[in-house]
Amino acid sequence: MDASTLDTRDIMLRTGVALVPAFAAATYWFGPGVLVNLAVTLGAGVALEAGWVWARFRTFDAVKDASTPVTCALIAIAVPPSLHPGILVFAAAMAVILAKQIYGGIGKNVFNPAMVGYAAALVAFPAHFADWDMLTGATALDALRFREGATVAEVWGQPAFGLVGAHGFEVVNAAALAGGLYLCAVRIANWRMPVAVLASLGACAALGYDNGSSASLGSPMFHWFSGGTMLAAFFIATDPVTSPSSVRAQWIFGIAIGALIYCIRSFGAYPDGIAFAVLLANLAAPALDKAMLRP
Amino acid sequence: MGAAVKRLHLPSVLRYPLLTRMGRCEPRVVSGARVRSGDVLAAGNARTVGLLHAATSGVIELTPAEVLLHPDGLEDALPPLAAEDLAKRVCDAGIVGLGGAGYPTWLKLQQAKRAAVTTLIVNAVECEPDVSADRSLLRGHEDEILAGMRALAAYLEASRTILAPGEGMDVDIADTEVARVTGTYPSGSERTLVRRLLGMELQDRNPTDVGVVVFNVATVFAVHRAWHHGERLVERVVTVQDENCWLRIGHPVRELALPEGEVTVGGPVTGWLARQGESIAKTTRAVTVKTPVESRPCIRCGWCADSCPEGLLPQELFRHINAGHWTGMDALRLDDCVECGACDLACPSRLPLLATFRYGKSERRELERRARDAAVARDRFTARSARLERLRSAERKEREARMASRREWTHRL
Repeated sequence: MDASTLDTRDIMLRTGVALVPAFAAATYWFGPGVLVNLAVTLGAGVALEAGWVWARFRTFDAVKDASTPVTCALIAIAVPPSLHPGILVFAAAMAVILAKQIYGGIGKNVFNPAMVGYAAALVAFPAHFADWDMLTGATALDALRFREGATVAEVWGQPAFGLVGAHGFEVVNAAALAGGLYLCAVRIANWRMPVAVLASLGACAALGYDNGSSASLGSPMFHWFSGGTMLAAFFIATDPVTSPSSVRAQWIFGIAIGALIYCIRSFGAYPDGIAFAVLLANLAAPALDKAMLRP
Repeated sequence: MGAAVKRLHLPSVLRYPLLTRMGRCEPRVVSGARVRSGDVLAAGNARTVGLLHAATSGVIELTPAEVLLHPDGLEDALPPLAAEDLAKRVCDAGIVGLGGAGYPTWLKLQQAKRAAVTTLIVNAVECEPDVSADRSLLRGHEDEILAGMRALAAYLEASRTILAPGEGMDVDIADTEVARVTGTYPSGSERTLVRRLLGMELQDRNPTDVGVVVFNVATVFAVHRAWHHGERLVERVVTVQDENCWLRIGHPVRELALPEGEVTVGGPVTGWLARQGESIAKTTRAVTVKTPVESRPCIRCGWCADSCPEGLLPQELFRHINAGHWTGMDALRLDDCVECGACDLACPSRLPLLATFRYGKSERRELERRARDAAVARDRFTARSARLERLRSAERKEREARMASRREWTHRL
C-alpha cells in the first residue's frame, strides 16, 4: 500500500507534536506543574487502557494507535497545574474507559474522551479547580463576570489580565493557535471547525461588547485568547470521531460550540464552558449527520 | 522503473482459462494437438471475448476449465494476418482494450466509425499508482505507437489526435498533439480523461456519443503490430512488482519470480488476489506482491470521501455493508462506485474499503436476484392456485349439473 498516506498513528503523533508549543507556553507561565499533570495523566491513561484491552481482547493492538496519549495530554493542559494526582487518574479513567472503551474503542465513541474526563473531574471535584485562583489571583473570565459595575478598562488593571486576553492564557492560546494552524496545513485537522468556532464565539462576543462599559462582557479578542479557546477550536472540535462528517453539519457544529462557550462563560456557573459546549455539540453530531450527510 | 522492458524465459506451461472476466470461450483445439504460435486456441462471443491465440508453438492439453499449452521451444509461427480492413484485422488479431476493461477493440472501432468520431485520444495515463506498463511502452516504442495512432486516425477519419501521457513522462513527437495529464489518482479513466482534456461531462453517455474515442496506449501498440506486421495479440507489457516485462498471455503467475506475500493481479489497488493457477490475461496490467497491513477502526476522518472521484461516502458505505444494512443503501449510491480504490489509498485506518464495496455489490445483486426469484415463485404459485380453483369450481359445477340431471331422471321414474 502507498506508504505516503498517513495512518491513524501518524495522525495522533502529529497531533501530539502540534501540542508541544502550547505545553511549552503553559509550562513557562504556570510552572512545571503542567508537566507533572502530563506525566500523571499519560501514565494513568495508557496503563488503564492497556489493562482494559488486555482483559477484553488479550492483545494490546487497540493501544498502539497512540490516541490515548493525545487524549491524556489534552486533559493535562486543560486542568489546573499540579492538580491532585488522584483527580488526574480519575479524569484519565473517565476519558479512556468510560468515554472510549465502553463504547467499543476508538472510532465508536460519541463524546470527546478528553472533554468527558475534564468535565467529570470538574463536576466531581469543583474545589480543586478553584486552585486557578490561587495561582493568578482570579481568572480573568471570573473577574470579568463578577466585577460589580466596573468597566472593562477598570478591571483590566488586575493581574489576571494580560495584553489582549487572560494573563498567561493569551500566550498559551497563541501557541495552541500555532500548533492548530500546523494541523490544518497538513490537513489532519479540518479547517471548517476552528473557523466556525472562532467566528461564532467572536460574533457572540461582538454582540455583547459595547467598547467596555460596565455592562460589557469582554471583546472578541479577549474571548479568543482566554481560557482554552484555541485548544477547543483546533484540537477538540476537530476530533473526527465526535464531530459530523457533512460539511454543512460541520459548520453548524462549530457555530454551536462557539455560541455555547460564550453563553456558559458569560451566564453559566463554570469559569470556562468549553467542555460542556463540546459535549453538547457532540451529542448533536450524529443527528446532524443523519439529517445532512448525503453523497 | 523506467528501465528497458525485460523479456522473460518461456514458462514451462501457458494456461488459458476458458472462463475469463469478459465471458466464456469454447476451445477450438483438442488434447494432444500440436499448435503453432498464432493458432486459435479458443473463441468466445465476438462481442465480448473474441479470439484467443497460442503465444508459442507446442502441444495442447485440454482440461474442463482451461487450455494448457506445453511449449516445444521451436517457436513455429503462422503466416501473418492478411485482412484488408482494419477492424477485421484487429478482430482476427484478438485485440481487446488493454487498459483493463477488455472491451473488444474491433467493436469499439466499428462503433466509433459509425458515430463518425472526430477526436482520437490515446490514453497513456497510468490507471493506477505503482503501475508503469503504459509508461515504459511509450518510452521505448514511440515510433510504433505513432504508427498505430496514424493507422487508427486514418481508419476513423479523425481530424484530431491527442496523445495523453501521465505525470513525469516527457514525450516529444513531431506533428502530434500531446496533452500531459497530471494530478492525483484517479485520473487515468476514460471518462476522467475526456473531462480533463476536452472539458466534456459524459454523465451517462459514451465517449463516442460526443465524437470522441479513447484507446489505451498498449492497445494502440497492438493495433500497430497487427496492421503493419500482421501479428496477433499474444503478449503484453506487465508491471511485475516494480519492473516491466513482456509477458506472453497465459504466463502462469506462479512462474514469475516474486517475493513472499499476497500476490495481487491487476494492479496494487484495484486488483484481486491471485487464484491457484492464475495466469496473465490480456487485461492484466500488473502483478504485485502486497505485504498485508493491519486495519484499525474507522475514525471518521472523511479522507476517503475527499478522495472519491464520484463524491461518495465510503465510510458510510463501509459501515452499512458491514452491518448488513441493505435497506436505505440506495441513498449512498453504492452502484456508482467505480472501484478505483482511491479510498483505500487515503484511509489512515487501512480499511479494506474497495474489497468491502465489491462484496457489497455482489451481495446486493444476490439479494435482488433472490427477491426477483421469490416474486416469480409467488406469481407462479398464485397463478397455479387460481387455475386449480378454476378447475375445481368447473368440476363442481359439472358435478352439480350431473347430480341435477340424475335427480331429474329418478324423479321421472
